[in-house]
Amino acid sequence: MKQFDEIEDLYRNEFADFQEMPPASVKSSIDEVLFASGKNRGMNYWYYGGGILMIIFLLLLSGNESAVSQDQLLSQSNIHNEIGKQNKGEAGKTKLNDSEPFKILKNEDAQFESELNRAHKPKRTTVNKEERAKATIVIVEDLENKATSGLADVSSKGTETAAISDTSSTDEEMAATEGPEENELPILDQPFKRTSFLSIYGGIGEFSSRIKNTDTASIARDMEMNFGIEYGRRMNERWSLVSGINYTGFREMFQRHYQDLDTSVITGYEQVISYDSVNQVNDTTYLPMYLEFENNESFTYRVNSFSIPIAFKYTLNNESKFDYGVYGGLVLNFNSVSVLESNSLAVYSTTKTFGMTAVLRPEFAYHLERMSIGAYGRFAADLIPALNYSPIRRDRLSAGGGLFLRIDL
Amino acid sequence: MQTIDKQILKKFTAGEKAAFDMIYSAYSPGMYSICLRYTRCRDDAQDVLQEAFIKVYEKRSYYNTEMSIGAWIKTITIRTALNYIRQNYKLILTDSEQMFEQDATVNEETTVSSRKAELLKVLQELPDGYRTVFNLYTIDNLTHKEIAEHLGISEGTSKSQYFKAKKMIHEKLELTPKYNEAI
Repeated sequence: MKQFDEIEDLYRNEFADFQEMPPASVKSSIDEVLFASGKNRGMNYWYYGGGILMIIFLLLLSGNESAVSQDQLLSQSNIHNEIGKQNKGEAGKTKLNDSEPFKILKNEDAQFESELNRAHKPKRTTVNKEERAKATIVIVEDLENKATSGLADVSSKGTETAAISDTSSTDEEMAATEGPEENELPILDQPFKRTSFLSIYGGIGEFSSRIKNTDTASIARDMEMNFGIEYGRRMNERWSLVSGINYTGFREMFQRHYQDLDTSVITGYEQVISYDSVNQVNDTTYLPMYLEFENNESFTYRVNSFSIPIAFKYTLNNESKFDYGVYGGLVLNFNSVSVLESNSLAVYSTTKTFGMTAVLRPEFAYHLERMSIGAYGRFAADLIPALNYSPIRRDRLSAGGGLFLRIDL
Repeated sequence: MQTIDKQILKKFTAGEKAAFDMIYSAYSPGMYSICLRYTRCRDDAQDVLQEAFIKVYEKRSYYNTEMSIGAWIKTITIRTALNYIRQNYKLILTDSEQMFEQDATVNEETTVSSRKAELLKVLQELPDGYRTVFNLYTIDNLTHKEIAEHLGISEGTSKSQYFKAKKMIHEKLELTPKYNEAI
């Protein structure tokens, strides 16, 4: 066992100060990885960003047309079914096959669709009864024409539609045919046409994000300048899918305190004894001890961040003059964090980072025809630290707000 | 060895290549020796050293200039070596005797020109598990508890590996005249 202990000492002493120069090829390989291919590494962010944009683009475009036409077909199918019911009820002999209206209407021209859409006001829209009657007449007459060309066996259509298309119908007659007295079109479902909007936001920017300097554990508030552009697609009356590109930038200065040594003032000497392999004193040296003093240093960090939000917006209320809703989703951040010299603001170094932030944004907008102006609040929390850089990072939930201009496309 | 002062460290954390080069030339010999101790051959040691210094540069923002840069680089180098052993040597640490009796593939290029080289050769010939625990405990001064945490093994396993490593080294060294002369 004693011999084993000697092995311990032997290795400890032999390898305590063991040094060997590595081949030069190692350093050149390191340089190649770190400095020669720096541009290629940076490119990865563009690949990520491009890929994400492509996915969003495809997501926004995919299935739009088919979804729209299906919505309309469903609505139109209801109209035809209604005609079928009337045919069945009043003529008592003719029955429409549920699948036939789809076949017939699938190839109908755009003019019919636009007329149909014009006639269908959005839900809750007040409609004059005369206008409503006229709209119904136009639709039913057109439906007759369309149905006639495809349904040869629907022979009694004129009789039933005549009752509805009578322009001299009174309110009482309308009530009799339509049921309860409401300012809505009761027979027809509301077709939803998918529309898009573009939002340009920023201006006053966001504020009060808290950035923690991990060196000093200090928390500083910063003023972020924030602006961007977003494209949204209304999936239905309530939900919209939103994406775009956003820029956030800010600059923050941090004070750092640390102990430094003044090598011009020696306060004493420290004795350092080294031992040889058999634990005998080999050498004794005296190292100078220098004066310690408090030093202050200031660093400035500049953050430029481009981000891609992928979010859903839920519209809580959509009145004619204003709407309000909540926007929530993920924001993918591509950041560039630069360390600046405090006085000259010359750039020391720049680090590229990637992060992901969850965002919740209540919005209020006032409509001015196709345009809307509005204000939003913004609450953000980092899932992957958005400023994934040791000295500064977003410390907790940040809050802010801004203004936006929205254009319906 | 080149002196690394605060200014150089500050430039290094700011990403300046010249400062990194100075740090490399100051610390690479010491770190290379660590890599040699942990790996089976020089080629592997060079791979670990390269990987370690790439990490040193990439993680420079995590370096606190209040700490000793040498200790920080050493920590990174040892961790890199342990990862390399896990990934490339299929290191399995158990109490089973058989697992550690396997022959390590030793590169014969290590020249036996001095006692240090002889000791290094013996160390490199040890099975990976023995060598790792022996290095961590004897030369890098980790406790068995710390070794257990680093390697994900029990403290008892660490102790038994260490004892077996010493025993094997002793057996190998007994055959070498230089070692006998030394003791």
